[in-house]
Amino acid sequence: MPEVDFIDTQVAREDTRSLVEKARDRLILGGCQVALFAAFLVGIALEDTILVTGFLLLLIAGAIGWGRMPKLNRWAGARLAKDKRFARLVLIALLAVFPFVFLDNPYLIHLGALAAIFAIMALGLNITLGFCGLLDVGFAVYFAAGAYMSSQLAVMFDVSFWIGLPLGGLTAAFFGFLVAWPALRVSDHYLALVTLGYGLIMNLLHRNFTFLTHGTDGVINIPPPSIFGWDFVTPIEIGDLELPFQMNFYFLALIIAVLTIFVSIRLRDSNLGRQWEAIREDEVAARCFGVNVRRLKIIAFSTGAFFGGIGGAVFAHMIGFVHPDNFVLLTSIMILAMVIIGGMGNIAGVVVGAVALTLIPERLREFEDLRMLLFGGALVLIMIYRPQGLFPNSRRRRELQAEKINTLIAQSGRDDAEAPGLPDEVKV
Amino acid sequence: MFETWIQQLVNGLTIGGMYTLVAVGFTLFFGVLKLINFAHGEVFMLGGFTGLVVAWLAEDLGLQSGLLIIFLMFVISMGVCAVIGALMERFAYRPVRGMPVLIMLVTSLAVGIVVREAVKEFFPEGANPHAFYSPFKYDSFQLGSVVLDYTQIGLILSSIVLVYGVYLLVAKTWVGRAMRATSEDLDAARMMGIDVDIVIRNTFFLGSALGGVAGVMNGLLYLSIRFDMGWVMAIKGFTAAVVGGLGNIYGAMFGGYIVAAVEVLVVALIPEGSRYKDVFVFLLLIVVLVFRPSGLLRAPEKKMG
Amino acid sequence: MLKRTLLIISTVLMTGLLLGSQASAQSYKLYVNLPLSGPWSSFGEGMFNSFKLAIDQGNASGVMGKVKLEVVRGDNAGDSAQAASLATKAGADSKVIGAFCCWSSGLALATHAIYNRYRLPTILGGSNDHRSTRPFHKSAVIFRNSPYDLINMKMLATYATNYAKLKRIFTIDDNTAFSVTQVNEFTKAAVKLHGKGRIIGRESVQLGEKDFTPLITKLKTMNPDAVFYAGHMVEAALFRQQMLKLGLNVPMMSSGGVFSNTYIKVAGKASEGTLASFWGLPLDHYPEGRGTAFVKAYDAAKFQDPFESFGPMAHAAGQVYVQAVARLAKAGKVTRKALLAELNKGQYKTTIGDFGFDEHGMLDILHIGIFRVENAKWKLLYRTDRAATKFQKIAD
Repeated sequence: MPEVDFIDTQVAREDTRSLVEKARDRLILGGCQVALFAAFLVGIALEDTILVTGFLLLLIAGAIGWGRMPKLNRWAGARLAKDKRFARLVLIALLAVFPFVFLDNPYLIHLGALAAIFAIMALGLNITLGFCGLLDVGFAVYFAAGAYMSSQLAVMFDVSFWIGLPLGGLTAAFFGFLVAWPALRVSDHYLALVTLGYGLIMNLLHRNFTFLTHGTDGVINIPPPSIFGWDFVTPIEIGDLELPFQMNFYFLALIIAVLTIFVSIRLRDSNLGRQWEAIREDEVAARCFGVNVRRLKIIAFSTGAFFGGIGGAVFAHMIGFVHPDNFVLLTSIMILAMVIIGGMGNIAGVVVGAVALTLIPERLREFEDLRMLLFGGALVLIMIYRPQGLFPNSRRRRELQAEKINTLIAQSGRDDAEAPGLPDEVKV
Repeated sequence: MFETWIQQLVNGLTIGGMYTLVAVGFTLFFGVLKLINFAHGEVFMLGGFTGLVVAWLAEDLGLQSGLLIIFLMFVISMGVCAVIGALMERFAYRPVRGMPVLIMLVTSLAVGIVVREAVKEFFPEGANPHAFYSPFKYDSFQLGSVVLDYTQIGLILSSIVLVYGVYLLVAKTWVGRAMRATSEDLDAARMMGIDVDIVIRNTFFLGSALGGVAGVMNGLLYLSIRFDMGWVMAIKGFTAAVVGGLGNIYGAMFGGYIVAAVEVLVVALIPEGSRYKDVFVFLLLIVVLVFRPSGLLRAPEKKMG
Repeated sequence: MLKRTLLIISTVLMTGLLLGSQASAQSYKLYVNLPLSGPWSSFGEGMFNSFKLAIDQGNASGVMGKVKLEVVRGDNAGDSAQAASLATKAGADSKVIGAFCCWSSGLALATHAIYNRYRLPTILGGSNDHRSTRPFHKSAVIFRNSPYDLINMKMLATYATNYAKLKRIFTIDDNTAFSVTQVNEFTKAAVKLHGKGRIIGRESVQLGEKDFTPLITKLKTMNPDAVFYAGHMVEAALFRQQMLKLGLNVPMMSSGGVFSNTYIKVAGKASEGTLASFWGLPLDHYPEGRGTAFVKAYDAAKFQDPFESFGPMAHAAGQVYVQAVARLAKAGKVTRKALLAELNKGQYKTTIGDFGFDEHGMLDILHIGIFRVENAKWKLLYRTDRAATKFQKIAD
């Protein structure tokens, strides 16, 4: 990717800070990251419902406050841009430390692994939806394809997880390819409805094709992955310390998630990514410039589905049980919500969305029925007040605001110039 | 054998009538707002629950006349649902009007979740099924060996009458003309001096009131209601609306009967067909969307580019 | 910056509070994993309350000495993925020494391997599928205090073919693990007794469906003399009503998913004559008036929801834990391992009778009966023995 390298060298050349300044900047940046991460750890370790609620409210207040301080925002952004690589390394290190903090509470490590798995899937949907702009309301289909393929291979034919994992991904990609064909002929609402119908049909088939999926019994006794005879449910022992086995899954999921992020970034910055973006922005224009829309859409569906399948395979082997209930419409909506809330097209945002939507409902378990009500209400509010997601990618934000303003203008019946209270950003 | 088929026809007409009443709402909302309002299923469910509350109140007040109670159930449910629909529009859909499809879609799904969970949480014993009131309980009569009951006849007739009424309203009245104009082009309609907000609100009044009728009908016919009955009806309802052509009022009725026909035929003709009934319905949905996106009733559009 | 500082300070304070509040010794947790929200919550709430009642009674009576038991309210919403997640949570918490699980068969199938992974003793309440206990799988920690579907369905099949003399039975499942297995086992048992002729067909419905008239019209042409509907109560009530409306006036048989007073309430008059085989007895059939004592205690505790059909079993599960832990407390060693050993060998005095667990973890007494709805009440017709061969007639 020559362009990317070019930009990187540009940044490197501009960096004229002395070594001391650099070290100081990095210290501050790293310190901030560690502090935020510590706050996050405290947050997920909270057990009491009232405390969790309080924490969430603080979080929301913090997010709103953060949004209200554009200067601070820009300053932090600039800091981050200068030391991007360093920041990434710190983050990965922190994530690697995470399970060691909770050695006596393996459930949190399990949750961490679950969050990583959903991040993989959300990143997959982000390719289809965020990069190429193709609505897919049936993402659970690919989740299911990966989970069923790899688990059934393991249960029925004793195939190793390491073979089942890519095969699961490929099966899911095939299912993505399958829906791409009808999906090519429709767009917008119709595309959403086609994928929705696809999801509903596939879920019925999961229930009824007993010979493939064990129907409503689900696939049970799925063996954990193993390497050279050591399987993932055997805890690793270092001296006297027995590390909980959830950690094995956590690192497996984390490594795959990091790989997925890496692939996502490369895809986004590649020629392919640019063409996808062109299709998302204006399909007709893209076609005029010689973009092979048909082929690229099929690739987008299949690639997105592939990661859905990978996530599904890891999920199946971690939980040890796969059931059609895991792949209902609500699952699709959840994954969709992760992408939207995080900010379509923004890789970091999507990951944050996935982590938040995996952990928060889990922490609010004591609310029981009220949980779904809160989820629905929060989703409505986010759609109304922040449709671009918490961390939008910059172009999308402008698009959405422009559209909102257009409607505002149209509603107020005034001219563009007279429209009141336009945020500055729109005038770019 | 012949009588069995007549019975299946009656069954199909009943199911189709129910789908029609729900589908009309979907088609109206899509017409004016280009929105698939998934929360419409929950409005339908609310209609059922409102009817039940009315019946409880009537019992407390000592009302004896079954017909009067039914009349009250319909009127009050229609009113409540119309208001709720309009509130949904005002507070959830208006802020996202004109946004990308995905945002509107997710908003409607989320609104649906809120309504459903609220009923489950705040209605007394909301998670449990509730037996519904009906003066016609178990009253059915036979023609030959074909069984019918009054509720079924009422449902079939009212679905036809209401659809025709909505058609008249949309085709012949000033209100309807404003609706059609809005559905053609929202901005142009506004420029012509139509208050688009009011038109959209009226549409939600109308569609949601019909949803309320369907909810009460459903209770009367099946004698029990539950908080999660809306979603099942929503997916069938929008399938019917799509099959008939979104935005087309007669299409909703046509689609309702087609979907019902598919269900009945699959169950009747295929051994163990009951298992795959919905698969066929959703396949129909996809096939129609792909090959005749404007519905079976209209000529296929010329493909662009 | 101020905001972030505030955030950090407040979270630190919160952790302090949290750690301070968690310092009580000799307290152990029992983790409940039930559908406390979602469409099945009425069953889940009834079981949870009954279980909690037994633990509260145990704590109050002081039989466990210094040891106190605490019930953790785990809600799986009837969803197997959430149930699996809760099982992991229970297993990973070292303060948890026992679990009470599931209500539905699918949930038990989803979780047993996880409980086994953590060696966490688990009593199933209600989950009827034989595959969730030994010898049908390797998980050694699962106990059940109600018999499984093999016995249950054998009894129903024997009753249907030998006692009610039904010749043409049509079976219907509702596409859940519980229901599909029941139909499979029922069919197997009937075929074993009389060859293939007695079961004339099988269809399936979906949860949430309301109109079964096309299916029933089709059934009518096949002239069944009974329908076995192995599903859940809401759909069963609708199915029964529509059967009668369309003039298919033959007995409907069902099982644990339908055996509930809610079914009678929803189906109304149509419920009369519905048959069910259920792994429990009317409360006045339990020994020494313990059933009625349970009802009194339950009413006195003023729970919001009724205890439903699985309440007595859940109460018994709680009593088993209390008595087992009391013995462990005397020996001075309350651990999962000790509890597991105790459950495997001990005898317990509970609401549903005095029993112990056999080598496969199933209770060694049998409460199973054929019921019929009469005058809006479930009436017990027959009881049977463990092999479901000898029948004891209670009423007509």
